[in-house]
Amino acid sequence: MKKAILIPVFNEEKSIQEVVRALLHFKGEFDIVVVDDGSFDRTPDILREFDIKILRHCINSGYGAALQTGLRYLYENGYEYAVLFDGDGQHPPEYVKPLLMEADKTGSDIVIGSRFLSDYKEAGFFKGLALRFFSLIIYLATRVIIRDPTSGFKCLNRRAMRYYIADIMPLSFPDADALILAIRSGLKIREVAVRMRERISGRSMHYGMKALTYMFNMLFSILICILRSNKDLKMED
Amino acid sequence: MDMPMKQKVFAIVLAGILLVIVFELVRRRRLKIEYSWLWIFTGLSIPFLVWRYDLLLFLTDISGAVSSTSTLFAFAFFFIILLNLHFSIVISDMQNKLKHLIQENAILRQNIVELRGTPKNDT
Repeated sequence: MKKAILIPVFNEEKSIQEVVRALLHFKGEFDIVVVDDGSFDRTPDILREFDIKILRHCINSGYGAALQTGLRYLYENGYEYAVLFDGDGQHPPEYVKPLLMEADKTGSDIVIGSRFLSDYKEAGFFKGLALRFFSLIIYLATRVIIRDPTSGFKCLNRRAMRYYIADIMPLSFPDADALILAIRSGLKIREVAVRMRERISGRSMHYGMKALTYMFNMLFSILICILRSNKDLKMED
Repeated sequence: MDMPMKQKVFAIVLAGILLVIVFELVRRRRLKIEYSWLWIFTGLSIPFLVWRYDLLLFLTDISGAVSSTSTLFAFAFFFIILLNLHFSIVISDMQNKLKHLIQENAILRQNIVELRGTPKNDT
């Protein structure tokens, strides 16, 4: 069974070496595939030091596009499972196998590594509020409870990979909107509790004004996902 | 009531210049035919409204505008909004196509590396 750990990266020179090194002991069991989204720092040079698969975007195209490139590659090359992993060092390697085992055991299409399965204390006030809000929207739209809709730590099977590489997929920030569409498309989603680490360097994609534009874009994208007809979703099957 | 001759000539000359520029850009392949239709429509609608001035007056009447000039301006403004929307659609389409090209390029490059049997990327 072909499995891969997929890491989309953009300018992660401070963390990527440590992240890839921590994952190297999975080699043999998992292929490590990094999608470099057109980094212009030392990231490409650092990646070349490792014997891993590297897909490089010649132009920076955004996190969603990088994720899609990696999943397209994995899908076309017959991989059964993809574990999505961040390049900033937040995701703990020790949870890679539990996510995969949960997907394999339960037949779930997407297994999310959830930080907030019990409560939102760790998230802080505003983030906790935003997560509760998106969680509520997902519940209202689909009747499915997802506690951590913004987690990028996920395990996808081939069915889910196929959904993520379809044109219908909302790519700007594939979070709550993508999950709503996935559930509406008939994919089964589960969450597994994980304990994330502090990121090695850099900061979240959603800070300052970006957090506000993220909220607006996400709400609009969710509305579009809800308005999509079942026919649209069936065409992607 | 008719439009003064000077205004008619001025409007037709302006529309003519616009149409000549659009046709010339298409001829020189600086502007694609599929992106030129709104410009041509704008260029043709001005002489049409000059020819059918009564239509402009009718539009002024039903839109509640004070004068036919403000109706013309309102239409011009509407056309500009339409053009901007058209450009947004074109840019979105281009961005989507560019994304596909970038993804295809990245995957093909990795496939070449694998076919060559070299373990590391040569970027």
